[in-house]
Amino acid sequence: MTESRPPARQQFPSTHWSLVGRAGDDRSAARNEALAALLSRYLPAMKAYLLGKRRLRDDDADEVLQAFVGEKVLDPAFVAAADARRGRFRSFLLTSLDHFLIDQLRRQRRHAAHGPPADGSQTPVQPEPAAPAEPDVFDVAWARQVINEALRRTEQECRDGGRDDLWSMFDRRVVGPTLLDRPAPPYEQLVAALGFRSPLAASNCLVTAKRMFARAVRAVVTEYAGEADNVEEELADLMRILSGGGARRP
Amino acid sequence: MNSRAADHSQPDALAAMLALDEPAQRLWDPAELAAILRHQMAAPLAYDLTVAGPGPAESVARLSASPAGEIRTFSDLLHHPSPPIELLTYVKDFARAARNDPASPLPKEIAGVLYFAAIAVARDRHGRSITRLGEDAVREGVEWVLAQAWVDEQTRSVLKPRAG
Repeated sequence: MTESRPPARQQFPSTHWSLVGRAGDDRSAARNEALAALLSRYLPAMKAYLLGKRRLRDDDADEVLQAFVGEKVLDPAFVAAADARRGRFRSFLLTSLDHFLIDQLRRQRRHAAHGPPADGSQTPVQPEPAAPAEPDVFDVAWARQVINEALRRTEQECRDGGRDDLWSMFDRRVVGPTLLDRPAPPYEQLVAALGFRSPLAASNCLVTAKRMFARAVRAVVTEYAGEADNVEEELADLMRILSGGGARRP
Repeated sequence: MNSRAADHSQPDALAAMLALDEPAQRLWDPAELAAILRHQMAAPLAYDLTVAGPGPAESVARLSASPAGEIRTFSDLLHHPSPPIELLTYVKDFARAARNDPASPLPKEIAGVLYFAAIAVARDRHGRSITRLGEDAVREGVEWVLAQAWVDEQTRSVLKPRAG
C-alpha cells in the first residue's frame, strides 16, 4: 500500500511546541500565522468547554472567546509563557481561559454594583458551577478533533493509494456504527459490495484500515505531544478522560 | 467524507475509536460466523492457499484440475469424491496457521472448521491421517465443530462420520 503524508500545511497542530514558540515570539514574521493555526485548533475545544462545562449561552461563549483572544492570547507574553517545561499547552490554555472567565465575572459584578464602565461595554457572562461527574468537555472536544483529523488523513491515504475499498470498509464497518450510530452492514452485504474473494481478503482489508487509522491517530498526537513518551501519555490520558476517569493535569 | 464524524459522538464512542488497534478487538460479530463460513466455502482455493497460505501456486493449480471434477473452492475440495491429499494438507496447514497466529485476521472459529474438516475428509476418503493430533483430540475438535449452531448442514456432512 502506498503511504502518503498529508501536506505540511494540513498538519495538526504541526510541531506543536514550535508553533507555540513562534506564536510567542514577538519578532517572528510568522507569529500571526502561527497564532491563527493555534487558535483554529483550540477554539472549538475552548468553546465546547464554555458551553458544556461553564454552561454559557452560545453567543456569550463567542463573546468570551473573542475577548480572551483579544485581551490575552494576542499578548505575546501570554503564549511565550506557555513554555514546554510547564506542561501541555492545552492545559495551560484551559487554565488561562478559566481565570479569564472568573475575571470577567468579577468585572461584571463590579459593574452591576457600581454601574457600567465609561466605555459602556458589558460582558454578559454568567457561568454556572461545573458538573464534576462528566468527562471534561474541553478534553472530549479535543479528542473529537484528534479523531476527526485522523479520519481525514486515513481517508486521504486510502484514496491516494488507490485503496478506496479500505476506506469504504472502514467507514461502513467502523466509523458509521461507532461514531454515527449507523447499523453495521451485514458481512455478506459488505463483501458483495466490495468484491472480496474470501473472508481472509475481507478481514485483511478491515485490519489494514484499522491499523492505518491507529497510525493516523498517533501521527496527529505526535504532532502536538512531541516525543514518543509524551504520545503514550497523551493517548492514555485521552482514554482516561473518555472513559470518565478525568484528566491528568500537570 | 466523514471527517467530522466525531463531532457529536459520545465519549465512550470516541474511546472505542482510540482503542481500535487493541489485540482483543474482534473483527466480526459472532452472529456473522455463518455468513463468513459460507463465504469461506465458496472462496477460491487458489487465493487463500497461494496468496496467504503455504501452497505453491503451480502445485495448487495442478492439483485443482482433477479429472473427477475441477476443484475451485474450499467446498469443491471438501465434497469432492477423490480430493487430492496434498490439497487437503494445504488447507489443514493454512487453517492451522490462522488458528495459531494471534495476528491472523481470519476468525479462529472459521479456521477451526477448515482444520478439522480437512483432517476428517483425508481420513474418510483416503484412510490417511494428515495430522499429528491423536484420535481423541481430533474427535474433540470435530465435536466442537458440530456443536456450533452456525455451521451449515453441508459442512457438517463431511464431519459427521468422524464424530462417533
